[in-house]
Amino acid sequence: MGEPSEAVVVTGGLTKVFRDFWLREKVTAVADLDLEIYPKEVFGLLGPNGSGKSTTLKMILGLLFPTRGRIAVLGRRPTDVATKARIGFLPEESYLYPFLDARETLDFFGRLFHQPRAQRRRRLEMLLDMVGLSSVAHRRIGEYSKGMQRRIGLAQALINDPDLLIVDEPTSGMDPIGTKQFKDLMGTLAARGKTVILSSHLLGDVEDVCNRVCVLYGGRKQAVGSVDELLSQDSLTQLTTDRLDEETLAKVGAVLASSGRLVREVSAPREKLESLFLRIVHDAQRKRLVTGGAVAGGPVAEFLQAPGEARPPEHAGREVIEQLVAAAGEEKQAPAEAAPPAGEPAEAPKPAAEVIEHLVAGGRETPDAAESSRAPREAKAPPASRKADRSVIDGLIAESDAGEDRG
Amino acid sequence: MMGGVWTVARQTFSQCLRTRVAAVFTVLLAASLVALPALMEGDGTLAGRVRTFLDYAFSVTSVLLSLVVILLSVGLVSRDVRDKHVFLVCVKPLGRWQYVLGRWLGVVLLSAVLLGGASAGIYVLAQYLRGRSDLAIRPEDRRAVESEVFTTRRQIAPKPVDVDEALAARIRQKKAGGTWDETVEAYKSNFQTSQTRAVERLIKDLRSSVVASAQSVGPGRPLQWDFTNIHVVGRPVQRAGVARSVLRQTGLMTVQTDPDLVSRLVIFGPVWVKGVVGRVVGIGQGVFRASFHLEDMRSEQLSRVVPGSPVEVVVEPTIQISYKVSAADRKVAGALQAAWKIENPTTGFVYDVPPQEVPLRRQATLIAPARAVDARGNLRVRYFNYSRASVTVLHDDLAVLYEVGWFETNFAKTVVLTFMGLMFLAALGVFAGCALSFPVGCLVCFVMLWISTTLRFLTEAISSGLDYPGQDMVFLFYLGDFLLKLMRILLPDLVSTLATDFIVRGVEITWAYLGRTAALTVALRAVILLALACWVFRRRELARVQV
Repeated sequence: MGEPSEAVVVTGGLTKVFRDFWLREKVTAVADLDLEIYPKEVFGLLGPNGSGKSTTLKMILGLLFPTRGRIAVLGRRPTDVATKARIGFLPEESYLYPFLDARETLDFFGRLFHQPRAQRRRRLEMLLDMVGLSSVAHRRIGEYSKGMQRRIGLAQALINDPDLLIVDEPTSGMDPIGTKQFKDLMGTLAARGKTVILSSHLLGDVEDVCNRVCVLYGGRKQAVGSVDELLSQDSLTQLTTDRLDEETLAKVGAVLASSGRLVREVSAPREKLESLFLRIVHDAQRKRLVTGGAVAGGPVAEFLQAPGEARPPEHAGREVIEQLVAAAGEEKQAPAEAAPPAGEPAEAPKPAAEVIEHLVAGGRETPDAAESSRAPREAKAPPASRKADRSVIDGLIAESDAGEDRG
Repeated sequence: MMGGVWTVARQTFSQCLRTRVAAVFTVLLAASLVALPALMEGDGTLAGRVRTFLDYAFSVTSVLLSLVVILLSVGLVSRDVRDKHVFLVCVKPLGRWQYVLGRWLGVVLLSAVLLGGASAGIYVLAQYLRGRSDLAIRPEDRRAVESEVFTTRRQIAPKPVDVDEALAARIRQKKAGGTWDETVEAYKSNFQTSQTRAVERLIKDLRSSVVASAQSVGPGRPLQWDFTNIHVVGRPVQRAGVARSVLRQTGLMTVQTDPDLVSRLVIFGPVWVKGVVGRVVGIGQGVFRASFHLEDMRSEQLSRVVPGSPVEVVVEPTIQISYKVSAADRKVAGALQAAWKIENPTTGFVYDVPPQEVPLRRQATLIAPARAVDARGNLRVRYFNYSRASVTVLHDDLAVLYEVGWFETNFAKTVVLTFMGLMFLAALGVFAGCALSFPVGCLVCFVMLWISTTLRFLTEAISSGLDYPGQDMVFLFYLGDFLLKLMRILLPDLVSTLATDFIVRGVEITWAYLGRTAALTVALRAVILLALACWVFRRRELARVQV
């Protein structure tokens, strides 16, 4: 890869016009698209159906040729073989050979990257473990459900530890476990300096994992920028605290009113359906209920982790959990019994911070935990210019302290 | 660089093995090969049965494998594009040319395996037929199957008839008789053509007539052919023997000798006893019976031979003369009578074959000593028509053959030639798959297959059509002629790769023929097609518009 500051993907005036059999212009799928995508970015391409997302991705991959404009991927032409060696691609559907089983599939794609046999075998097993298909690796891909095919598709996209990962509708057909694991993975890859380009209709997924997005409509760029820039509502402040009774709420309202602020909404946060689902499945897996489908994905494959992260997955997971539990006990005063009892076998590995905090919080997800799933974290840090006005909050805290002292 | 090609080839091979098309064709092929020996009887002789089996078995194998190869090679690429498997393969560090070559190589590997299996089956079944003693009723049946089928013989055609002089004489005769101008005018009128074309056409017809008459002979008259470039390998084998019986009135002598020498004898082939040549008419265990001319029986060498006399037996290498006699009168049936003289033009040695029956309109073989060929490889053969009918022996139906190698070598060359045809078809299929959808690609390939197997016939049909330019729709013949010329450049003559004619007649497939077919069929045209396929696939957008 070139200098970190160099764009991984650059398009200039990229245009794709589709013509009919008689070469008459039929539709302009992409028009004058200028993009620069940098290392460590998880870049989202958003847009309604037919907005040119997939066409753009396919031009970046060299599967379609631009009608006009230029395109450089990792500093070279998209069809350059050396470039393709550094790219991973997960298409919108499974285009894998249905007659091969999962192991044969990964072996075939590993061979295309000229990987030595030992490395190929090692990565293959790690990836199968990561996507939770080790137990069904002997079955043909054609027999897999759509979600399982997505998982093996993701595994093949990662077999070369790509510098640039291009994913089209990545969570389509995936169950929430796979979706969550995918989001975690995007964070891990971005943290390692990899670049991810993601195209999706699922705005929630994009919001969770992307740090920069481009919105397309009619093949033209409508908006581009970081997620925080595009979504921030600087005129509002959200405060999350322990449950407040009516009296305290009234006091808070009064304090805010004295500063000329209005309480616009007071609500008790609800747990996300995703969190509930994950908990149920984790419980079932802990009880070792039989399933013919995919199991929970394993840890991120060792070769995809940052060098310092690499360690035996079960030990790594347990240590991290123990450290976090200890830290939570000291800093958050979390109930000690929320941590798994010592000596009990660790449940299915959950490397993500969200799952770990979910455990720490005794199975109930907090809004903080939900927020923590956004990746990469450093990219989500609010910009200095968006700092909330703390004066009112400080005032509230001071008043509360005074009340307690009086009590 | 070739690693990618090999990876795709391996995957293709594995994919093909799991494809039902290959499995169905394999079952069909196996069933056909097993059923053929029971169904095919040929002309009733063992040699005929084996020949028919070899002919049909190789033809069935070739046809079925051609279909498999076309269906698979077109389908592999076109379906990869249709089902978007190429999205995942072509975004990997693999040049598109590597993908195309890999697909081709995979199909070629599969066809090699299938052809190898089928060939092994054909060989085993042919050997099984060869060993069936119940089918070789007469000694000559055994001789024919061993010396004409399970062998490899070099074939020499006679020197072409020099008809220029006879043609000039015919033209002079017509001009002198005053019929020349009249005939030319008739040609101009009949064919509605120019003076020049009419003269060309007339001369062509006259030449055909002269050639035909040079190959025909009336009752009691001889036909003569000269052969060159015959180089028989092998040395004479000499052993001591003992005369067991001598029948002077019939010219028959039975001799006991070394079984090894007896094994070298062929029925109706020559054998020298005390320096006098005779014809072998019976072969037993360490014993043979020979027929001599009655004058030879009275010669100095043989006149004193009695039962129990020691004799010196010599077996020399032989040549075979393959021929087919037709009667000018179609009403003539059955066999004709003829005698042969096989002469050494240098030494004057003559091997006489006394008047005997020759089959009518059926290929037959005469065996003669190789001594009749001189040191420079020249030979003269004369045929004496002892029948009452005029007969014709076409040059194309006459050849001198002599053993130059093993059946197995020729068999292997036949398999290699078939394999080359399949390699070309795989290239054609991959090319069609790169450019077209599956049904259209298959259609194109089948049309090309049909053209390349009928190229000779089509060329003749079109050229004969062009000889009659006066008829309607003549422009179609000119268009056809142009297209055929184009096809001859693009397509190989696939009939040349179907070498069953060689193996059936036990005729050597020369290395030159093999090399020429390899160079022109595979190395040139298949490479051109593969290069075109790579070029088309490289320029092709693999994704489709979805807006």
